[in-house]
Amino acid sequence: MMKKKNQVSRRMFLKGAGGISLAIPFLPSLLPRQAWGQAVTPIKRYFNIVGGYDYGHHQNWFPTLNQLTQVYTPSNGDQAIRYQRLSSFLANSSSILSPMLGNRLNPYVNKMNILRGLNLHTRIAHGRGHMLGNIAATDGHDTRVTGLKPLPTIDQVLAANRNFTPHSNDPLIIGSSSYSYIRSAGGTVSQASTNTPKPNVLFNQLFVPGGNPIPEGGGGGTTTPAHPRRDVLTRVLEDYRKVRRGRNISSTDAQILDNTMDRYSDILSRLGETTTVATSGCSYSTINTSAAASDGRGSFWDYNPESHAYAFEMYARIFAAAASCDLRRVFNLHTSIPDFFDRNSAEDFHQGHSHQPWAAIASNGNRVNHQYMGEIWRLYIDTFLARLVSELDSFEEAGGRSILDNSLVHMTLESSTVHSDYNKPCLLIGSAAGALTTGHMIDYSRRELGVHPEQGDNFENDPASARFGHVYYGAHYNRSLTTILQAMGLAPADYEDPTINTFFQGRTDGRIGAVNNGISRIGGYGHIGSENSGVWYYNDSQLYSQQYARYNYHFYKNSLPFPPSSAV
Amino acid sequence: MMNRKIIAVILSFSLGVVLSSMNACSQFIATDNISTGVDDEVITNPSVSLFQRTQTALARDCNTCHRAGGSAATFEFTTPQQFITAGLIVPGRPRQSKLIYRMINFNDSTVTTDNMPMGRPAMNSSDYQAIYDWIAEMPTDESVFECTDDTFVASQVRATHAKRISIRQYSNSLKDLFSMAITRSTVVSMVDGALNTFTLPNDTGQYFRRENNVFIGAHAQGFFDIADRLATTVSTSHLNNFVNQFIQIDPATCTSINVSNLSTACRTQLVRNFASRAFRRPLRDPAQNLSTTTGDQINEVADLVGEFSGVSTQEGVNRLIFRVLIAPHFTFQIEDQNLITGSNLGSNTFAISPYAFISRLTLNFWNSIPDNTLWQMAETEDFTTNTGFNNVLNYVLSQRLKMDDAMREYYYDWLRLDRTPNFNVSPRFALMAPNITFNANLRTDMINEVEELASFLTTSGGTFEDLFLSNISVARSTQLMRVHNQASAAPSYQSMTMANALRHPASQRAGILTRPAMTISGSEFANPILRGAHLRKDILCLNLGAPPSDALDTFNGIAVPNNITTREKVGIKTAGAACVSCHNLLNPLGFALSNYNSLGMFINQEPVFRENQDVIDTYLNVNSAVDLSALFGPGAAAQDATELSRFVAQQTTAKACFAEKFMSFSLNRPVSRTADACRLNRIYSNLNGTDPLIDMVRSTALDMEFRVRKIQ
Repeated sequence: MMKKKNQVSRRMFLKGAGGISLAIPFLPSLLPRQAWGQAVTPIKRYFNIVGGYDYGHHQNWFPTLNQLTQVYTPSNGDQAIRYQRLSSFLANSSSILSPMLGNRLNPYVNKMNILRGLNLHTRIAHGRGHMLGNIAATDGHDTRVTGLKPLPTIDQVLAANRNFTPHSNDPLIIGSSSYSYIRSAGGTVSQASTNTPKPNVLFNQLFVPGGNPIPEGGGGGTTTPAHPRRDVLTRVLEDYRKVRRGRNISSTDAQILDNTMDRYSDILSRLGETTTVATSGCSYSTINTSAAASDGRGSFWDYNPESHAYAFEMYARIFAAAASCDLRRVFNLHTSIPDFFDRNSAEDFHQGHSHQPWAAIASNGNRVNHQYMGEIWRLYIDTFLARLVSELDSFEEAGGRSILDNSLVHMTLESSTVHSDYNKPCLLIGSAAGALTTGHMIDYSRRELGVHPEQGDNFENDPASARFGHVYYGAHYNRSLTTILQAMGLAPADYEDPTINTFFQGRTDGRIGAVNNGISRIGGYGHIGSENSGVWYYNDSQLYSQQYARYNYHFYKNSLPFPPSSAV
Repeated sequence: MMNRKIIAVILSFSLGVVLSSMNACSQFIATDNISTGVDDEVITNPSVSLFQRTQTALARDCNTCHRAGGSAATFEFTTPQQFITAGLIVPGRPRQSKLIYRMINFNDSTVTTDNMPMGRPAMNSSDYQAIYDWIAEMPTDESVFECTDDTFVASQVRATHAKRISIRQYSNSLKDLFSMAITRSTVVSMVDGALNTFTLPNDTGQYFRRENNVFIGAHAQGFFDIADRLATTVSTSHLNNFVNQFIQIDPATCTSINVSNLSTACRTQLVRNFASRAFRRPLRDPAQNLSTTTGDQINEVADLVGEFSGVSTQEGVNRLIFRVLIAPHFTFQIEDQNLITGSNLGSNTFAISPYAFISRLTLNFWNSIPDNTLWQMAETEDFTTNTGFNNVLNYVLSQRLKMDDAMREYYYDWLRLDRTPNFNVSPRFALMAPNITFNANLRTDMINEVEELASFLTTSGGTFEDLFLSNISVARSTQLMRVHNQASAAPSYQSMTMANALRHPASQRAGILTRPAMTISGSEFANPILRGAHLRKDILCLNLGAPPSDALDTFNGIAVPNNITTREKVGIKTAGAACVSCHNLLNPLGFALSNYNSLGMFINQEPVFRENQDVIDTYLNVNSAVDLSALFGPGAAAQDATELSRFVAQQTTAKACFAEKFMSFSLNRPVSRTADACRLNRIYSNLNGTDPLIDMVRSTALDMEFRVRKIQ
């Protein structure tokens, strides 16, 4: 699906109607210059979208909860995996991959992986850091992980590694709450700040530092007049919006109109506006810098469905533009679910929706809360993630790969279902320049060991129950983070901390399973779980030990096994 | 013996009650006696006790195999109608009912290789008699679908949503729109040129192409490019005609047209008249006091007139056309504000406005936009009365030529004419038909022939039986005329009437089943199996299991003499135990068409080709006489294709199948034999005897679902 585009002629159109346009060639020295086919070291970028709360029900996220069809057994003794081509879940191009993932990612299914069966060993319930690796950053809702050493999250590990990024201002973090933890020069780990201006402000921060546009890299340039249909098409889109906002429009009408507007927006994005293109380096037109104008609208904080969606689309485009010009290599978008989604007049969103997955929504008896959770996340996937992926895939870099191919776009959430850190979501898009095979749903669940003793609050462990949580023993979630770090090119020494996980090393008592006796070095990234033997989950040492015993920590330091070849 | 329970269902009364609360000015559904095409009396189930005994008997003797998960089709039916629509019984006619004639060991059994119960003792005679009596006592009325209450209930209306118009509707709408100002032949050339240059995705619905509601990037790009092309062409080459003719439709205060310097009044009328025709409704202006949910006043007139701001008339027209042709209300059917009227009938169901109704009518039955006559009717007719309502409907249905495209589309899809094989020409073709060129053009002519015949019969007073029995010829091309051995061309479609239509010899062609597109195989060998399968599956809507995976190998592996007829060869090859039970239900249908060779020509003899050589050694008489008792009951037989066609036309299953398909086509959605049973019965009731097919079409428009919109 990648559209072959020469980077020099690439234009990013971020401008709303009526905005001024300005050419901004950028930093040609950082761009790949090699001819196609010539061996180059690709630039890798890491994008993550991390959400607070949960996705309501596993069926919202995964294309299937059934056993996958293919099996791969690694030769190194690591666990066998099941996998299946993602395209096999799509009956046609408009089918949805899942209620939450929708269909806008369909063109990229062969570049994606959806991982299932990734579990943390300790219930976090409420946490801000475990999604990217700092398990210690919890609010104490569940106390089993107290006393653990705080760790920088993987985005910060990548940002601090000068082999990975030359930019000292990495990572870029926008969002309503930060799930990123940074280690200071003095060794203190603290929550990183978010920077969440409106799109036009963010654009200026990145591309117009100090109020001065980044100077042209190659000089000269040519001016291309706007496409003659651009302005009228812009007005046509406004016609669609008016119908969309009109009366007697059903929710299905709205979806149909949204889809249609997306398709015309795609065309609009390809219609040139009056733009000066530099003779070298990346170039694109700016957005209107007036806060009062169209690009000044939309933010995380004030909710209007249209402007909110607009803002996220803008953020996606700005991320992609910044990546194409190599302004940053680590990009974070972190958001909880804002309270303006609250439809329960008696409770806040947290108590009224997330914690009551099976309760009907008061204003709409046809849906229950777990469906609603999926619908909300779908908005962010449709407006931000799908747009980001589309943009990244439209940039071609040396060697014929797109920026998306050379990157990893990673999505995860605070929990899967209520308070549950089992089956934690992990969506990876891109292959990190071929480091990972792609195109599959991969299940690390080990059903042969039976269902997991905990299925998440409000879910049951009886497979025959309609409320079965579909959780089995699987692989440790932190291995997905190790996988990302290794795929990005980091060496174990770049992220391993020999001072942690000592509880799990050198055991001879079989307390975490005989298979885990005698491991001299756990390695890997992040805490396996509580190292305080007095704080057993369930207050039942037997259960806790049983849980540990079902994972083979010889492989904790390794990347997760992936299918042997990509889907095509 | 008959124990009929009769329920009078007076729809008009029910509707009047339901609608009486609606605003008399804004409501659109007539409150006087609405004719729904349904008889006042609907006869319901016969003797319950006999039915219960039937169920008990079937459960005991048949459900070993005929059950969910069993080795044969399920008999776990809960209503008599389910037996009817499954083709197992013919109400009132036990001897023609498969449930009877396939039974083993009774007087009315038809001996086949697989009489029931297979491998088990015969059913006891008292049970058999109960089933026989149950069928015999069943009224032979039209209620083949299980309709228990035909009262309009708003909550049972299906929700409808915005829908992209089909590509045919799009193409026809463009042609009819610009033909209001520019010579039609010029417009057709211009529009077809654009459509051929810029590819739009084919519509591929589950059964009917127009069901396809998908809008993908290729649609957006195609609509964009076509609008761009047409806007440029019209504004540069047809500017004067476009401006003058569209203003003249309703000049209002535009008293003097100066194309190079259009006054505001003239711009306004140009915009109003052009865009409203494209949108199939008047433009929205401040006088209507419409607004978005965010409070923005809607003023389409001012928005579109704005395209002329600061630019020449030519550029303004260019922009106007482009904008209108990709506007939501041109390329989508969206019944939003002011296109639904009146109060909520319940469950968010509303009557639709006159403009929405004429839009539905023309998109469905003309595949296009309303014409000026309909536009006037929408403005002047009182849709709250049956008179006004029927005036509009009658006008739409009276326009035979405008209906042609939609009817052709229906018949093409229903008859699966897309599967008409291409000709794989071999030297033997020349031996069979020395003067005919078999190519893609002839195949197209053959498909058009079936489409046109069926469309003509539907719009010109023909009946359902005529579809299967009419010998009218519509062959005009030289090659197709040669296939028919026809000396002169049929009258043009425009001038053709029932009276002046050219006719084939009645002994040679009877209705659609006998036309070349339905009989050709693509090679020199006729294929009675495919003919039978097509008829059984698509026209009778009867189940047809998939052949075993090795069926073709088995078929090809059975040696047959060369000097026997195709029918005989197929008979031998399908006589094996693994084949015969299904082929008994297929082969007779195909064998009855033996008078048509693989090229669609009527024959009495078929050639025998020398093996591996293009030489005809001899000719053999064909035999089209078939025993249809395994299909249609004891004694059923046909001497030829005409008799077969008559049998088919009279079959409950054929009419039920047709009703289901046409309803799906007209409502743009799959139908349910249970949820839509009452509607299906109304359509079905118009497929009998001498009822013209146009009444069947009318009944779909009279359906309440066609006249309301549920917003969900």
